[in-house]
Amino acid sequence: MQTCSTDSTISKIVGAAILAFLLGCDSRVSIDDYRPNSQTASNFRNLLEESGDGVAEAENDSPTANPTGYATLRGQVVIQGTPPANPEINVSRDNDMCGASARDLQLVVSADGGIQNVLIYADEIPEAWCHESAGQTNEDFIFDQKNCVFLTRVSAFQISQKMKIINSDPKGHNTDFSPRFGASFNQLIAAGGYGYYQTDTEEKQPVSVKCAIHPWMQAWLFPRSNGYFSVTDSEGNFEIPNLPAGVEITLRAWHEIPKYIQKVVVAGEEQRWSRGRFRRTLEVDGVLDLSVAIDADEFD
Amino acid sequence: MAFWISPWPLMRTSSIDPDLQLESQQKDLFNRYSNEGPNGFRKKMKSKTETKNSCVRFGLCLALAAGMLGCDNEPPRFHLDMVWIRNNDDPDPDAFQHDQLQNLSNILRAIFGTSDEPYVLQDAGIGMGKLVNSDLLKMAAGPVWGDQQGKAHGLYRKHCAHCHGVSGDGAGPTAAYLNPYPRDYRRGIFKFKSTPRENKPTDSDLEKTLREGIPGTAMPSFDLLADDEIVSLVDYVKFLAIRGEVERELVLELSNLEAGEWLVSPETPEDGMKLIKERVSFVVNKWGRAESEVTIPVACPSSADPRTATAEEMEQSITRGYHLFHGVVANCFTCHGQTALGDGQLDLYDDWTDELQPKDPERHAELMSLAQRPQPVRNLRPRNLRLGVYRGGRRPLDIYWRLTNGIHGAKMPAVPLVNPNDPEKTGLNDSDLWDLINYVRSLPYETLSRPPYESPIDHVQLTKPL
Repeated sequence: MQTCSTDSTISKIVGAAILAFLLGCDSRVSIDDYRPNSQTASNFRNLLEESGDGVAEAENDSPTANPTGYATLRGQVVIQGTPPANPEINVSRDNDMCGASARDLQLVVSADGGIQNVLIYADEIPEAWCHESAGQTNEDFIFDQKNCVFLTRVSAFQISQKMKIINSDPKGHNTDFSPRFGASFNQLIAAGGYGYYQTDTEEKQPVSVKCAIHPWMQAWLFPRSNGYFSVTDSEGNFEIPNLPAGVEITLRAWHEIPKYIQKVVVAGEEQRWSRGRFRRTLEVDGVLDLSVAIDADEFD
Repeated sequence: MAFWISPWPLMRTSSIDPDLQLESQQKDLFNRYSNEGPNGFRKKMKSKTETKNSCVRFGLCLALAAGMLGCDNEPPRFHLDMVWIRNNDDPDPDAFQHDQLQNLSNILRAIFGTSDEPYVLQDAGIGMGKLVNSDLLKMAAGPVWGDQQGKAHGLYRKHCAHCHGVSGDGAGPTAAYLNPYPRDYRRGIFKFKSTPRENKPTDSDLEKTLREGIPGTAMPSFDLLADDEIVSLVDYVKFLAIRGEVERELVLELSNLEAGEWLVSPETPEDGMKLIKERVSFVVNKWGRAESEVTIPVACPSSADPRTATAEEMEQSITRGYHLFHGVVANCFTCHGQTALGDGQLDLYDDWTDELQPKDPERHAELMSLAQRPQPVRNLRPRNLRLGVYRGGRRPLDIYWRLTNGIHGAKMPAVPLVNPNDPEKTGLNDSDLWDLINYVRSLPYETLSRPPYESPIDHVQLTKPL
């Protein structure tokens, strides 16, 4: 009697069909493989239920050591190698006002290699540590736009400040940003007009700002609860005065292309700043000069 | 082999007995490939003997059944938001580790339970119990069945999951066929609501969407459901949104940790609980505030109120609205177009699609796969205001909310308003708003042959009656 198993042609076909279907399964996109473990989840749930009121406890962080004075951190951020070209912008409307063509100035490098718009800031500084010059400015923070360009590409401001959003163009812009913690904002700013934004919460990361009418417009905003931040100037220089000294503080470095800057060369030595963090203990009344070089590959 | 012929994929939105369903599926396959009808396999086999044919048929059926059923062999469950995870992941060596994501998955299950057994964390500080009702959630969750009293269970899977997905990711099995795509709740962004842009919708806002549907989309009206079923679904949608937002928050926290750190470490899990609770409270509190944040409209002047205005007054109001629409203060024409056909700005994506659009094309393709979105990516289309189809509702009040609050997730900004304490500020005044609403509501009836607007007039004139 002839059976399937003895007919090599048929069994090959059947085998191939099975194989095709089984292989086909693997080529499907896997959404995720992280099936929760019911036992671990149940343990976590018990801990959550037992750990009391999370909100009330959140206030009780107190620093163990206190600063003994203040110091200044300053320096320069430079690029190593040839900076990549900025992408071209499709200026799709209002060419009379916005120009015929432009490049998206994500990376601005001076003739000497200084990188502009690198944000350096001190992270998680307790309020009690702040020097009086580093907190609570009430001046309006001016955020302007002209010729379809936000005049400040990267800027930080204090949450005690009101942000005045100005439109210096003869046509309307809308200013649209959605911070993670503070209020979001998307208002039309009439030609020649202005609007105000105020928040009572600092952010942990810079917030992207866009204009829906001219979608290529881009800026980054960073509302903070103190003034310990600096954005590098056109030569790549930064300076943060009156930082708490005598205790270890955490600083972070950010640029819009790599976001947190991780691979750096500091004074000739390669360092890895995990998620942009570097820690320093500054000497009282001292000035720490930090020259930071970043490989051009980080900006690709 | 049992592994490969699990009936679960067939059970996603149904409560039919798995064995029966499997049997009928096999019969289906058998009929399709062994009898009449277009059949490539059969034609190839025609020259073989009858015995061979039956063997082939049997083998093929087995292979097809195994292959088709085996591809997706698990019960419905919540999935991680892999697009958000990928977007917040760093290059090596700080990339998220498998164990860290497994940890995240365990934490989410601890807080929210499963899609069959949702859980509401009973903690006074978090207040989730005030926002959603556990019993109502249970009615909406899990497989579809009816109890002896005729009460329906598994409402979400019965009515919603095929479009909005089990996790509320907007990627259910039918999603790819729809335009616009179903809403992904996990960002907690809802377009049509009575509260300002950054605020959450109220229960009534979500109920309105459920009861009325969304005109111009595949979202139908569910007004025929019983009242408690509607409320149950509203709670479940809030639950999925809160779950999704908490997940996003935790991923951001994860992306802020240094290499080797955990959200909740296996050795000292109690240390991580404070952070988890903070993030849950943060999301829950936003939802808890919604009811007190409803935008109360300013009074409509009698000369612009369709119930009281004379025909002449109404015409004047519409004409003023026409000028405002094309003016440089409200700027409606910029996106909705000179003719209000919705063709003024076609280069935008909504907030959900923005996340799928990194500059690197390879990464874009990867994110599209993770989001289960077919190519090409769809642009955001400003609404064609001449159709008379208003997704968020056609009442003047609905349009008032869209104008003054903007549309979250869809780039539509709020119009600038005058400020009595700041006379220099340019903006629309109270009656301007109603004039603009009257004009928008008249647009479906305005003749298309009306010449396009010549040029925007000076905004100073716009705040004065024409």
